[in-house]
Amino acid sequence: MIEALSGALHHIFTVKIFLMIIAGLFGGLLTGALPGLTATMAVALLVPFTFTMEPTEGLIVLGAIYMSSIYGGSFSAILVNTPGTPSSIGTTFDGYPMAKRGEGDRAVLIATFASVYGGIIGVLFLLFLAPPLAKVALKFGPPEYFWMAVFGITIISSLASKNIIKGFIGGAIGLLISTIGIAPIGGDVRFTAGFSQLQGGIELIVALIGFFCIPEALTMIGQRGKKFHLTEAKRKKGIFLQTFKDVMKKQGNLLRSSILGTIVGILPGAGGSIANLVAYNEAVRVSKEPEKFGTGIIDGIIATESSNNAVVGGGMIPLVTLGIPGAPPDAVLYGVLLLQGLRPGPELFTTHSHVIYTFIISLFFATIFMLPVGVIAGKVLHKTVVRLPVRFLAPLIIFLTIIGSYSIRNNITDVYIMLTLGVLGYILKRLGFHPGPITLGLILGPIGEAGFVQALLIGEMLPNKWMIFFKSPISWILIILSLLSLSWPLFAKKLAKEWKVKGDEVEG
Amino acid sequence: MKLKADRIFAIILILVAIVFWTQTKELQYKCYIFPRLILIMLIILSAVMFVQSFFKKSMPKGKLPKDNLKYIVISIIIVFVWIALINVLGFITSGVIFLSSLTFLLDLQRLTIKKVVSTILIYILVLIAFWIAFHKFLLVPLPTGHFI
Repeated sequence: MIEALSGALHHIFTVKIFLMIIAGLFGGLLTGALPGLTATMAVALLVPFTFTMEPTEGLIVLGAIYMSSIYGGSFSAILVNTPGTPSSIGTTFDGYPMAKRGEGDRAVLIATFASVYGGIIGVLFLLFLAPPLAKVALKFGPPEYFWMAVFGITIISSLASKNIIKGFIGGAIGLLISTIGIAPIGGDVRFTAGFSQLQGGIELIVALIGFFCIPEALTMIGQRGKKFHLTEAKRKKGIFLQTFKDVMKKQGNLLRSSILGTIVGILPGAGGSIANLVAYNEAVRVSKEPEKFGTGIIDGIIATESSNNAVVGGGMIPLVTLGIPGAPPDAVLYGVLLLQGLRPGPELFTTHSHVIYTFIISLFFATIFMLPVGVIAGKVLHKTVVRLPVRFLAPLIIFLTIIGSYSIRNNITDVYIMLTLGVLGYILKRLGFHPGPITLGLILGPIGEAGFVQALLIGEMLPNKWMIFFKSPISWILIILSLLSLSWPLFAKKLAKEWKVKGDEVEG
Repeated sequence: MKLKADRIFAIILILVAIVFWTQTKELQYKCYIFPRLILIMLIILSAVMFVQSFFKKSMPKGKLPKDNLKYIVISIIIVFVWIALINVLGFITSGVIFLSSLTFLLDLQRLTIKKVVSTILIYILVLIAFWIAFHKFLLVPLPTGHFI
């Protein structure tokens, strides 16, 4: 590990890589600050621009984009009361009241310091927790991979949707779409309806761009009358140092929220959108003055912003150890790793350790660089970016989705598929189906199918072939975890009730 | 309203699952076993959603802001035509035409000649800058046609 780390540091300490990180941070900030553009969209839309780069360089840029788009979401949350990404929903609770008081500048600084803090904690967990977990993951055989896929599906379906049945249906739709094309084992062509273009299956990134970006753009078009208003902040001298001291005094909140963010990130499917609310809830619960939350206090912003950036590192832990994305943007990174010829999973730490350690270390530097980039550029960016009218924003998003899906294989059919899936995603969204379970189904489908069929073939040697799925202790652990995650909605309902009571208290 | 939509969608899903099932008949065991497992799951879940729609209370109105479907449908048609013509007209030409059309469609105020000209000029500049940066420098493949 130490050898790989020193190699990674050697690789990163070049002007080119640092410039790439800074460019990625700007790109992420820009997209993150735009209301309607989520971190997943930011990463998905900017993927094609990394194609001509080396695999490591492409990952470094995307990592920086991911980290800063989550942070960028706080700008619009604080200044226009519209979360730039769902990860900043909680930031509006206290950020906007501060901005209304003319303390927008201070609120943005608090978000900056908290985001950097949370980001670093998440990356440290990724650096030290991922390698031992990868060793365990190497013991996985086909039945274990099948159960892992089942576990992934159970978690996202119960967490990403208010309606569990709809969550599972979304997951099943994603799984079904993943079976289109040539079967991974056996090689028969399935469900192509005679279109030879579909034989290779549906390109994951194309589907992700369609499901995540087009529904948002169509919603913007459907609500075209919506306007955003910016609150001007009053500039004060010495605000930088004073805010830094104020934030650092809140070590308990910073640490608790960052660790919560990392844990939520590790859970497959649960991302920053859940982490920031969980951390906010905990901050209210622990506080001696819960009644002050919602009136514009520093603790509220610290909790949400440190937790959502900690999700970045946490979410990558299952991605690089098990090949299961921890948060929706990781799903896009999963596709990118595959495109670059790297199979997400424990082999990353054995056969491609130089790539993965360089990526993790670059993420660390990206988090540190977020401080100067956020402070200097954020101020200019939010003024221009947040004011971009929907009549320009929605067409530009569609434009980027077209370019993004075209450039993956230089193929116009992919653009049609992307748009068709996008329209389907919009209809499903209106019916209460979220893109999260669908895309996880898409990702877990091939893993689950390969594991399932291979295990059955191995099981032929047993008196009852189905017993192969219940033979190893790891399988049983995964079955128990799946059952636990299935019962999670019951706990979540209880938590939500508690949260509602607290919320009413805050509002009151 | 929402529950009625759920009911119809559940029926559609079951029908789609049946169509997919018929497609698996000529496949080998190892190629159909997994899709069939998913199809069974989809049919059961859709049936549950169908039954649920009779017992669940309707969602309070106005929870999801209503979208103006007219604009959405027109936009989707514009984008499909754009994709169909992108390899004929070229990246910049088609981009300027269709991006401007979408912007005009979404404009809340009356269009003036000044506004039309400035929007087109903005898009020409943005697309040329994009083309140079990504196609020329980063070598990202972009659609080509008779024009640029």
